[in-house]
Amino acid sequence: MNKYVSLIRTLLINSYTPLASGKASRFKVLALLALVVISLIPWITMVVMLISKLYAPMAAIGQEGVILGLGCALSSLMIFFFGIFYVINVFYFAQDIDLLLPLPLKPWHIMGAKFAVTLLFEYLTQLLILAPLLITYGVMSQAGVNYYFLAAVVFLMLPIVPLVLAALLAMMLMSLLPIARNKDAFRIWAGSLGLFLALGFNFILQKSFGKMKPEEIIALLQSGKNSMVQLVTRLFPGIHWGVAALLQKGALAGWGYAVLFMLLAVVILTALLLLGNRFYFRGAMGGSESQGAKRGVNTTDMEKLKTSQSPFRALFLKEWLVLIRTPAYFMNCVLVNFMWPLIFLFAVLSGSSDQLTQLRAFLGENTPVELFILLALGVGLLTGGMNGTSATGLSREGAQFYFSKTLPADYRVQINAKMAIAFALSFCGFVALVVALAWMLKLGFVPVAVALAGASLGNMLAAQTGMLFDIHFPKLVWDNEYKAVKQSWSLILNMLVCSGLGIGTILLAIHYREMGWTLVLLLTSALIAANAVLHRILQTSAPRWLGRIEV
Amino acid sequence: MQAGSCADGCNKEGKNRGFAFFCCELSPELLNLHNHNNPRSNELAVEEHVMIELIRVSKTYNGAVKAVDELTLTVPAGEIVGFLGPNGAGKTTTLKMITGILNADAGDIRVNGINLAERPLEAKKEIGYIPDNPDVFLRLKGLEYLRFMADMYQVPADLRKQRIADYAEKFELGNVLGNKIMSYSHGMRQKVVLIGALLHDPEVWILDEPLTGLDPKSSFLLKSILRERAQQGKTVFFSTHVLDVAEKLCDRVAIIHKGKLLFNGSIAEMREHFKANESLEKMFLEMTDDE
Repeated sequence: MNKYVSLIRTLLINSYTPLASGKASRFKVLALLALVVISLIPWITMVVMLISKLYAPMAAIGQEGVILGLGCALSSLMIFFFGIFYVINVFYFAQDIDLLLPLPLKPWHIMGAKFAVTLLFEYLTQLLILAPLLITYGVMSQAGVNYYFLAAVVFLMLPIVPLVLAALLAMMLMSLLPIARNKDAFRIWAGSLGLFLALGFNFILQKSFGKMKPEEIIALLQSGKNSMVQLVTRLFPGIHWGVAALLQKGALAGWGYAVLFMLLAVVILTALLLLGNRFYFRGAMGGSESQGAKRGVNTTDMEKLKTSQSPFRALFLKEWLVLIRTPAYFMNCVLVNFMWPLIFLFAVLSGSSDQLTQLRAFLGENTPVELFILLALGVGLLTGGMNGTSATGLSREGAQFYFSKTLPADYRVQINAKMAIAFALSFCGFVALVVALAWMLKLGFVPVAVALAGASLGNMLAAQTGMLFDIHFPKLVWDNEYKAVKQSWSLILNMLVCSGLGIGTILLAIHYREMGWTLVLLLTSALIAANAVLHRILQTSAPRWLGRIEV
Repeated sequence: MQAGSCADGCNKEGKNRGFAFFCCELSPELLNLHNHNNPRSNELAVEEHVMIELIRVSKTYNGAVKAVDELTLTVPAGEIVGFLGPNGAGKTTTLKMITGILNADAGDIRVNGINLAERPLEAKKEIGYIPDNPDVFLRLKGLEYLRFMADMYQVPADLRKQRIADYAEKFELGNVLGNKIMSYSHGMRQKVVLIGALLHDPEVWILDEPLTGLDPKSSFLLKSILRERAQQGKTVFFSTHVLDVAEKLCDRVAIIHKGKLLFNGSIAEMREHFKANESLEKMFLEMTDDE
């Protein structure tokens, strides 16, 4: 047990990412913290407002528990969905495996410690959505102290089941790794398959949910006493116990459900560790890159040498090759851009035909062109922010960043190549999304063209803000590639800022759609101006800033 | 020579002979000091083209640790110069400042007459740099890496193909250039980085501990390439811990300790200040043992 605790401690210390390197000024660190807090305020406000508005009407029909049920279910779904990526990254892509395997540790020690560290990070994610939800519900329902104790238990237990399920899925996929000849390629395919499986799982759940007849749902609603909770919490086993614990008026019954919920978490976690003892090493041991067959170069390869490329093109190509060949980068910088069209497709396919009709009424042939532009501006910012390519442009180089400084290529060219690849990936993802939309909603050429133009502005801004953040807060000290993209402050910051701006733009577009072209003019001008200012700042100051970064 | 006094007549007292060198080296006008009674050295100072020039260069880490302290050093063209010093002496910091990886806090650095701070890109084009850790762009294939380097240094299309083919054959890498660098052994990675740094035929070749991890055959090959380059009039400046290599290979050595230059001259000149036929190792230990 001591070994286990010691391993968790070491992994945690190793995962710790300081806000900035020793040289960064205190002002810089404070500015970063302030930015994170400011960009979190809209999120938390949104959750609190939504729950406050929902509570009264739901309580009137005796279904207020649905808020808790939905909150817990959505939180679990998110943890499961992103957990697959996270677990594959931490359990299998991390290069510390090579250091841990020779130590006298049992598989469950390693797997359990990695699980514990992953779980801690999931709690941080839950703080954003579940914690405000539980607290707001408690305030609205005027709950006593007992509720808050139970809420703390639910908060702590909730991510275990979805994370274990994600880990089991990842373990199944990765146990095939040793037979793969090209480990990196296998990891990339397994990661992509993981995404499909997660989407497929969601699809099946929604389908089964949608099987209920409307009259059955109405009957459930009318019966009151939180009868709907059962329906919304069946996504993952045990959620209904957690919610039931919070809904009980009597303290004893509440704790009874809480104990059941805890027991389930313990059982499922034990099952994972037992299975891990048997199967984890199979996948993890196959992780190291092995030398394949020796491959020389053929005439065609040599012929390519006859053409010389500009430094920009060479840097762009190098970035592209590294992104698509490094599993952690592929998942977080490339694949993430193509997740949106897939999620959209799955959501539409799993929804009812009524939902599609509603969507067509909102975004269809009769929708004004200006709404497409406005939405595209927002979605471009949102998806651009989720794309970590630019915000980890320097961080991905890690300790090898010094090598770029020896190259006789202007720092401007170096960052432009990084921003260009980020923009290209975001834009390609958006093109895929628009193609999916155009097919589903039978859109014409004009809406598609203006949407692409609008999104390009959002994507461009996100690429520039990402680079700006990464220049100031690069994570150059890491021992695993996944840390460069998963534990980077610049990425988190860019995600929060751009999604905040994106959601704001979308809300403006919907609320003030009657302003039409005036709003288009205002917002596009703002985005063009912001892009121009950032471009100027980066082109003039980036060389100086980059020169100061020393590793 | 009396223990505790400098061979140049400086009569400051020191604990040992090493300190005697040290006290002289402190004055900037006496840089290349042990050459000043050597007619050839004086000639060098006047006639030979200086390829690397550091003038009162300093570097402090985190405002506290002085890694390089007012270092003044010149490296002439057409020579192999070994840069020696114990761990933490400031060798790598100096090399990193010359290559533009680190910024000097004070002083000037010139490469082939080009001021690094004023014209960094032109200065970098003069240099071929081989880091001590060859784990660079591991997910590129060997050939992709070399093409990348050729593009960065704008090596003409007709030359790059020939040079890659020649060096790949020399270093016996031809049969793995289609593999990712990640699958290479340490020595193979080092070789591919070496080739990358030679493609643009740099005037100055800077190597940080280049012989670490190379097998005897590759090590021999590298040494002969170093010699070949010096004969072509190019400059080779490398750090090493292997004193034996420095003794056999270098035209001159520069010894740094605690960020300060202790000596810059030929092995023979160094010996003049010590007993004849004393090993470089012993001289080195004496020089850096000032605790």
